[in-house]
Amino acid sequence: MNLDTPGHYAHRRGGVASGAPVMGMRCAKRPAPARPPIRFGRCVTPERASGTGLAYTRVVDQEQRILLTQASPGMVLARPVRLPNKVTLCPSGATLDDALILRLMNRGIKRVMVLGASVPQLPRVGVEETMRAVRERFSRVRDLPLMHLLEKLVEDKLVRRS
Amino acid sequence: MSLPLPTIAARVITVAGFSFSRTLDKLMKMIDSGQCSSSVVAAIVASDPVLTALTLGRANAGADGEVAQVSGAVLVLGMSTVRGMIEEVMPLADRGVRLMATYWSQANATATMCRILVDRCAVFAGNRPDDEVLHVAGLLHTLGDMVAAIHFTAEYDVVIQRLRRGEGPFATLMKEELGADPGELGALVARAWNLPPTPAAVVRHHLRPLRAPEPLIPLVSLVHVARQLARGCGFVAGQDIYVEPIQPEVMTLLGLNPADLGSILDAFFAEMDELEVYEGLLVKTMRT
Repeated sequence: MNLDTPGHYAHRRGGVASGAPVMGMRCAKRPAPARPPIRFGRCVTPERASGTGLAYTRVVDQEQRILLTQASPGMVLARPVRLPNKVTLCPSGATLDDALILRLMNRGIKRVMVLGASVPQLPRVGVEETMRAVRERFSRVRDLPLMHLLEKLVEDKLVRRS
Repeated sequence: MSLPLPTIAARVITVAGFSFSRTLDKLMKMIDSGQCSSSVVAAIVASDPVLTALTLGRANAGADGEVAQVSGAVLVLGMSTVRGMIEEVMPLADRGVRLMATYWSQANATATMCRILVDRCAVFAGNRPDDEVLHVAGLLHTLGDMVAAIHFTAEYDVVIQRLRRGEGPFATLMKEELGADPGELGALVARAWNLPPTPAAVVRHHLRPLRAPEPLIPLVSLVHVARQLARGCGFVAGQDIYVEPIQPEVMTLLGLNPADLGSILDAFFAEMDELEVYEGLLVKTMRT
């Protein structure tokens, strides 16, 4: 099983026996659809594949792009660390430790992809909340033409982003 | 109750540096490993306003000329001196961590905005300051606010309560409650920590840039505008959430066209996506 290939479904639990039917041959049992192999994941949600009666495991991959200065020992690389010339410094699946973090820093690496979501991310803020916050921030300078222009620009940019 | 300026100055002399324990631990580990380059240490120090100020101050104490760049300061000091300095820095406690995360983010956002703005200002055509000088200027401008929040907590809390009630701008309320506005307090800290003249002038005059020493007016004005743009974009500190006016004369002096603000904000947001979130606390305290 290739652990490095991205995918969302784990291999079946049980299911079709080895010696899968060859195309064109009559077979007593309908073969299960091909599934990409399992990758990494923490949240495992069992699902019933419709029609097959077979149990599948859905793997919700969680990756996070973090700055290397945020990395802690024990974190696992979700993707390989490569130099701009495509030379791989570190393969995916490697566990970070202090020495490795330091070596990557010394090579000028700034960001890595790690498994899980151990570093909190900015929450997605709704449009209404964004606009309310912008208006509150500019509430005391809105009567100045330059600041009014800036408020409109900021509101536009933040709403687009949210 | 406001304090006389000499009293504040006397208290500021004993003010210790402060930072996140995680940053301090990481730096100590890296230096102790003996395999860390000075540029990596400088990069981490330069993301932290207080460590930057302390490093520059120490380096300038023993240097002939002005050391205005963190990388140069780390080289001047050497790793063992930097390590000794970090040992003296006070790790922030609970209240401080949450509050300082917002000040740290505002400082870094202002530093980023300075580097973006400088290329749009006609006044810097032909004499553009070095990126590290711009970064340090943006990073340190809010030194007075940070020291007030950590070392003058009683006065700071009253200021915040009055600010919420709309009794005036933050700087005015600080002057009334503490006896020094953030610029004056920052200037006292800059003197106590031996900051070089350029960042010291930015700290002192960023609220009223036209009062800065003549040669430094463009740089201080740049920080003044960058600060308000960053705050407008949501990088506000603690409960001090209100954007203050940008002086129109400053825009004229810089040769900054308001029509360019849209593209400036686009460039800023693109860069800020990459900014480190300190201790993961920025997410809990940022308003948007």
